[in-house]
Order: sequence, then structure tokens, then C-alpha cells
Amino acid sequence: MNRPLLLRNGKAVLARYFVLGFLFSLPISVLADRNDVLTEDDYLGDVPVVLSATRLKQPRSDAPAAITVIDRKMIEASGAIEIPDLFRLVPGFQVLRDEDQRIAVTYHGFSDNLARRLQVLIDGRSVYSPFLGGVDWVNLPIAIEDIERIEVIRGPSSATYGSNAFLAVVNIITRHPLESKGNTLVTTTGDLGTRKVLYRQGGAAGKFAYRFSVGYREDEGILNLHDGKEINLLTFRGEHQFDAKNTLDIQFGVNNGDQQTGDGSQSNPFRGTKTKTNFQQVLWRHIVSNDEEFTIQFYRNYTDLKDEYIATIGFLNLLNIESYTTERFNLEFVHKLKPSRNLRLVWGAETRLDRNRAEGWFNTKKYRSNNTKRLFANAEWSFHPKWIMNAGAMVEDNTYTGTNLSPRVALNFKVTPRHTFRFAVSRAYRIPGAFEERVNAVLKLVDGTPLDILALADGNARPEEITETEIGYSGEFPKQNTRVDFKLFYSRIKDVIVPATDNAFPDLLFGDGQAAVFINGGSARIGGAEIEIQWKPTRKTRIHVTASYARNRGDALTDINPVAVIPTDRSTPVLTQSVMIMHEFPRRWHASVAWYKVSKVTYFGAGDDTGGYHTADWRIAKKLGRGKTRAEIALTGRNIGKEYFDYNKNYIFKKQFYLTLKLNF
Amino acid sequence: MHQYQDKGTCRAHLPFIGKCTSLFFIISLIFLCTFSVKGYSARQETVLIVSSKTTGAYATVINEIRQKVSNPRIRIRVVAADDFSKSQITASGQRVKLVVTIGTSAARQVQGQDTPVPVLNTLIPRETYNLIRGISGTQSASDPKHSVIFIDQPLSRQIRLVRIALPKFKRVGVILGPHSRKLKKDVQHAGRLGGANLFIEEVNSEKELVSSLSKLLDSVDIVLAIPDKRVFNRRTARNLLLISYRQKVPLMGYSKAYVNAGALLAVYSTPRELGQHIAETILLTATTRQWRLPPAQFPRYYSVAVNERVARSLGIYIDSESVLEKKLGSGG
Repeated sequence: MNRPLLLRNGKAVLARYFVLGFLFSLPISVLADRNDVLTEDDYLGDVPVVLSATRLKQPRSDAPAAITVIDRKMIEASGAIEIPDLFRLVPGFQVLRDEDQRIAVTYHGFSDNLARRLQVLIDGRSVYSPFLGGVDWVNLPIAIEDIERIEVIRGPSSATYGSNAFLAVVNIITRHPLESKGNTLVTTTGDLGTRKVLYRQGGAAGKFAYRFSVGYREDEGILNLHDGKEINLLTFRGEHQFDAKNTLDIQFGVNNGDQQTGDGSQSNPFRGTKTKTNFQQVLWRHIVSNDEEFTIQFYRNYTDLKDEYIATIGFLNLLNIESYTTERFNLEFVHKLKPSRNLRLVWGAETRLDRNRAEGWFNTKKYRSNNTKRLFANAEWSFHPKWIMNAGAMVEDNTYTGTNLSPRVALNFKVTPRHTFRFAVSRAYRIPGAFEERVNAVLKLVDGTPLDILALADGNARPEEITETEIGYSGEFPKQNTRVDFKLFYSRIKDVIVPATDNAFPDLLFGDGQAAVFINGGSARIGGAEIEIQWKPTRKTRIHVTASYARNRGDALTDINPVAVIPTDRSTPVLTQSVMIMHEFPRRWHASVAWYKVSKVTYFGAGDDTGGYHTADWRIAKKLGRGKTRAEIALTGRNIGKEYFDYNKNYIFKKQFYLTLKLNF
Repeated sequence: MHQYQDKGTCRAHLPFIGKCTSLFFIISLIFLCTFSVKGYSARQETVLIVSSKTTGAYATVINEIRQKVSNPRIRIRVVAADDFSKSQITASGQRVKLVVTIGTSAARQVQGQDTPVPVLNTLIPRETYNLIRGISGTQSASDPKHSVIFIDQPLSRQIRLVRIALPKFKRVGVILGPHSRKLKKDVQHAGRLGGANLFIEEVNSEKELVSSLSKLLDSVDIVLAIPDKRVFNRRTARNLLLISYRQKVPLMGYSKAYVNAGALLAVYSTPRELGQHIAETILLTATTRQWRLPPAQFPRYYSVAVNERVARSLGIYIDSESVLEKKLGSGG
């Protein structure tokens, strides 16, 4: 009947409808998709608060301590190959490099090749070694290319960061996943057999943004030394934004380092060590309101060093186990709030378990653990338009040394909004690492027969204590595009934990009647002045100048039975200076020069008298491409000038050149 | 409201009336009054307000219009956009002389129906107005029968605010999306006039936003946010604010809410300010024969918002909102 006809016509009608519909839909579709069109709501509607009062950083002029920031541009311009190189740009900071590529970073000297008095955090995760103290910079699971910024708080900050934030605190902030979209490939080749390659990818899918980096680097170490390294790493950082108020930041990383060590002697044969490091970190941030947020963070750090060898002394074959495993579990809760216009508060609680296993050092296969609990609160009170008070304290309890209270009070007086004076008093503690607390190193034959005790800690060491008084000035001169930070400081350090040689040590089977014992045997006073100037004479030029003058007075026990002490003054260089100039030339050429000078210093441990040294690095880079695909080629020259060493006279730096190619695509 | 005023006028004549004739006169006056009121109301002309919504900011705008349009000759009627139909204009006795739309959906609703009276669109972004009206480019043609008061601020005003508030911030970055790209010439023009050194990045999608922003942040002192639904919207505000804050480059927003969220500053118009401008335009239009509308206008009244917390945190010294408002106003 009619039906087939209708169907037949219907098809034609439908086809025509589609064609027409398609034609019309082109211009209309823009209109039709109402979500794509701006409305008054975009102007009148709410935007979730992003930079809330609790998220905003305290301006430098309001801070209770001197702060130095090394930003991405400085990191690149410095031509740094390893992360510690960057700290030479921080006033009063020294970098010490020893055999086996052991690097230490310290403030006002007062260190050996393990800088135990400096706290280092990467995105809020402490990487201070619970076993040795200090930081194994070479085996950190982080690539220098992934660092966005480094903030250094120069001064004791246990009130905020807990124990071991003793002389200073280093905060390393990595690139946020959102800032790393696309692919990046960086390769470096250069002297000392250096080859580095890093691939990073960043992306986003819906509410999740991520970046991961895979890197490999190797070098042959300093000439004439058996200290090459091969290191590979993988790091991941992802952020999931559930809604405007809840975000989850997830990070993990793995670092595997194969390093050479030994001097070829029978007691210290050539060999390789393996260091495996990994970490996992989860941070949940909840924004309650514009004036309130809290975070809950959990992380785990793990480091495992394998170094076992047979040393021959005369006719004895000794088994040396230098291996250790250290693991940290940390849970932290922080609540930030702004109860009134003039007051900002932050308080929090933290619990931590550090466990360490080191058969060769503890003379047992058991874990040596330290449990830490922390409770802290800090307030920033602007009680007068010209005055700000920062006051806070941390109570900390740990298995090794019991309970400490670390307070800090700072008063900032704003003469004008651009000129601020700061008066601060702060106390901090350093808790001994498991090594200093529990070491029981016994020289053993291959069959396990104990011969001699080499080092012993009785577990009675008190924490080291520092009290610093500071007068600071922070000024801005907008006409000159200059910012100046000045600091006068005086610190008293007591109960310094030293390895003293006990010359009447009861021997085991066979020995020399000596052993190193870890005891509170030192004190010092360090005072001085520091200045940091940042000057931008033109839009394209940046000049960064630092100078530090410091005097150390004190002594440290070296021997007991009979007692012998050494003065500590030599461990702090009187003058530490740096100058860095960065300039952008036309046609996208970039050049930078950095000059560093550290006066005569003899650090603790195996430190030799450096006699004072100065050195310079330079870098020239050319940027290519403007679109999505960009490249940069850079030539870096390091250690220009005379050869020098900064810790051990065998570890000498000579001229080095590096070529870096960076691709973004 | 206006009728009561008329009765008051009648009452004012009462004391001059003789006692004996008072009753007659009172009666006839009441009659006359009533007649005249009736006659007056017959001459009253209606402005029909079609509003996307009648609560919140829309209510504020409507109230402001009602208060400021104090001409007894003009009656204000409000209808929600969803309830609007052409018959409300053409119905006998309504004497609708002007339709004022508030908001985008109201503008669409009225645009969809061929209204016989002049239409004034308000609370609508320029980009959307041009889209609805089928105007290509950025020049909104002058039409006495159809005009607009945009909700967005002119670029020149925004750039002038940057120059006044932050004289050292000469390098101004702008990101343009697929929609806002049409503004490129305007942006360049405003930049030239304002003495700003503009850096423009064009992006096609949200995906490209972050890399373009990062590139921009390397070379500019401040980023001027120009809304584009595809890239620069409330959803992406978080990333933009976070990334630019991390790079220590402030953002200039386009609304008070953007400033609360973390932008350093913005010039914007409050619903009351918009209401006042609309009221003034209604009154002005009413004085012309046949309700001839003025050409398209940007908001006449505006405020400045400054996020002092962000300024302090970035180490930027900036005048207070009121000082900036004064400076911006006096600069013409």
C-alpha cells in the first residue's frame, strides 16, 4: 500500500535532510554548543580560590630567616652537572668533594665529607640519611633537569623542619606535572668521560597530570682515581585534581648507582659498589576554605648500599662489610589556617620510623631503629602595620635522645614596605644518625673471627644544639632593580658529636689499643656577616653576588686517654664569595659566567688545607625554534683558572668542557 | 509607584479650594485625578526587561534599573527569559517601546523572535553578542534599533590599568584562543596606545595552553587574561594561576572572582554599576524620538580589584583599589 512508497520517499527525504542539516550545522554548531560560548557567568560567576591565603608563600621580607632562591634560569645558566654545584651560589655555602665522588654541601663549613648539619628536602620529603647523616647527593633519585627551584633557608629552622635543620635547610622543588607537558630530551657529553641523557615526558588526561623522567649518566671520575660512576634513574610525579578542593600528588622514583671505589692497595682493593635508592610519596591536599587547608603526606625512602670485599693486611684476610640498608617511613599532617586578618597559623604532627641494617657497622644483622614523633606550631602575626612576629616551636621525641623543644622567635620591622629589618633567635638540634649512635665496627677475619674494635658508640650521645641570633635586613631598590639581603649572625653550637680516638681502648684478640668513639666532645661559636645582591641592570641581564664573612671559634676532641683537642676555626672559611652574570644577547644567544672563591679552609675528617681557591665556570647557549619543537645547544666550561681542590688534595679539579643539547618536542 | 506620586500632586491643591464648593470640587477633582492618572498611565511607556534569571546578580541589576529610572513616564516590566514571547510586546495596551535583555540567554531568546521595538542587550560578552548578532570581526555596527552594553571591559582600559598600577611592567603577555583570536588587532592596537610591549601567544586548544603559557612567562612581566571558552576559562583558571604564580609572574584577571582566586588585579563592573549604566541608557533613549539607541558601549562604571595577599607574596607594591580607581578614572 502506501507504506513502501513512504519508506522509499522517506529515504530520499532523510538524505536531503541530512545534507541540509550538515550544511546548516556548520555555522550553527558554534551557536548550538552553548558550553563553548562566553556568557555573563564567566564574568560574574565564582572561580574556585587557587592561591588561597594558606597557599601563598610568605614574602621574603616577612620571613623569620634569610632565604636564598635559585631558580630555573640560574640552574641552567650555572652549567651545573651535579646538583651540589648549585649551592656555591648561596651565601656562606661550601661544596666539598672527596674521593669516591662523595659530595657534601655545608653552611659555614664545620663539616667533614658527610655534611650532617644540613637538612635537605625534595618536595617536602627529607632525604637526610638516617644512617650516616648527611645526603648522598650522587644517588638522589632526582634529575637536575627536573628541579624547578631551590629555596635555601639560611639558619637553624628546627621550629619548622625538626631536628637536623641545624645550620640551614635546603628545599628542592621539582617541576610540577603541569609545567612539563610534552617531550624533553637532554644530552650532555664532556670531559672525564661524562655522558648524560635524560628523557622527560609530561602530559595530562582529564584531571590527571603527570610527568616521568628516565635518565642515565656516567663518568670516569677524576683522573688517576678509581671513582667512575654509572647511574640510572626513573622518577614519576602525578597530580590528580579531584575537584577544586582536593588534590592528590603522587611521586615515586628509583635510582641505581654503580660506582667504582678503592685505591688498588691490598687493604682497599679496586672494586665496585651498588647503591639502590627508591622512594614513594603521596600527598593529599584539602582546601577547606580560602583561609584554611590541610595536607596529609606519607613517604618512604629506601637506600641500599652493597660494598663487601676482602682486604689483606700482611698475612691476614679480612672481611670488610661496608654495606648498609636504610629505610624511612614518614607520616605527616599539617593544618594551615588564617583565623584573622593579621594572623596565620600552621601546626602539624609527624611520626617517623627510621630503620637501618648494617652488619659491618653494627656488628649485628638486626635493624637499628629510631622512632620520631613531632608536634609543631608556628604563627605569623602582623600585630602592627610595620611589625610582623613569627613565633613557633617544635616538640620532638625520638628513641635515641629523648625529647627536645626547638623554638624560634623573629620580629620583622618594616621601615618602609621595601626595607625590612629582622631580629631572630632560633634553637635547633641535631639527632645523631644511627651510625653515630650505634656503631660497633669490628675488624673480622673472613671466617668471622673478631680481631679489633674500630669504632664504637655507646648510644649515650646527646643531640647537638645550636642557638643562633640574627639581625637581618632585606631591601628593595626598584629604581636600580636591585634587591639586597644582609645578615649578621652569631651561633653557639654545643655538644658536637665527634669521633674521638680512645687510645686506651681494651682490645679484642688482636689490635692497636685504639678505637674511635662517638661522644659529645666539641663546641664552637660561629659569627659573621653575609650579603646577597640581585641586580638586573637591564631586562636581559641578571647579576647575582654573594659574600660571606665568618669566624669560627671552638674546639673538638680528637683523642681521649690522653685528651687532645683541635681548634675548629680552620673548618670554616673566613670568606666565601660568588658572582654570577647572566645575559641574553640578540638572536637568542645566552651567556653566563660564574666566579667562586673560598678562602683557606681545612674541613674535618680527611680534609686537607685547601689554601684558598677560586674558580670560574662559563656557559654559552643558543636557542633554536619557536614553535612546539625547540632546541638549545650549550657549551659549558668549568674550573677555569688554576687547578684546585675543595676538600681532599687528591681530588683535583681541572678545566672541563661539556656540550649539551636539549630538545623539546 | 508613579501613580501615588500623581495623587500626591492632587492633594497638594486641596487647601486652595473654597469651603462651599469643596464637596463638588473634591468629587470632580477626584474624578479628574482618576481620569488624569488613567490618562497618564495611558501615556506611560513600557520598558520590557527580559532577564536570563531574576535572582542573584540579575536581581541586583534589575533593582538598580528600577531605582535609577525615576521617570514617571517610563514603566519597567520584568519578565524571565523563559517566559518571554513576542506577544508580550505586541499585546494591546502594553506600549512596549524598548526591550532590554539582561544576560546571554535572554539575548538569544529575544533575538530568536523578531521584535518590532528597539532592543538593548546587556550583561553579554562582546564576543557572544557578535556571535548572536552574526557580526563578523570585532566592530559592532551602530544600529539605533539594536544596541548593547557589553559586560567586558575595553582592552584599552585593562592595559591602562596595568600601566597605572604597575608602571614597570611593560611587557604584557596575552594568550588568545580560537574565539578570542579575533581580538588580536584590537589587542595590538590597545597595547600600542597604552605603551605596553605586547607578547601574544595563540593557542588552539586547552592542551597547548600550558606550554604557551610557560613560553610566555619567560619573557613577560604580567599576563593579561582574556576569556576564551576554549582555553581561558574558569576551569583552566587553576592551572594558569598556579603556573604563573610559581614563575612569579602575576595574572591580570577579568572579574572580581578571578582576583579572589589569585589574580593580582582586575578591572570589572559590579551588577550595580552595570544596572546604573543600563538605567542611564534607558533614560537617554527615552528622550529621543522613537527610542533611538546609542551605539554599542562598554561599561561606563567600573571598579578595580587588587589581591593584596598575592601582591605581597610576589613582592609587588601596588596602590590600593580606591587609589587605582581614582587614577584610572581621572586618566579618562
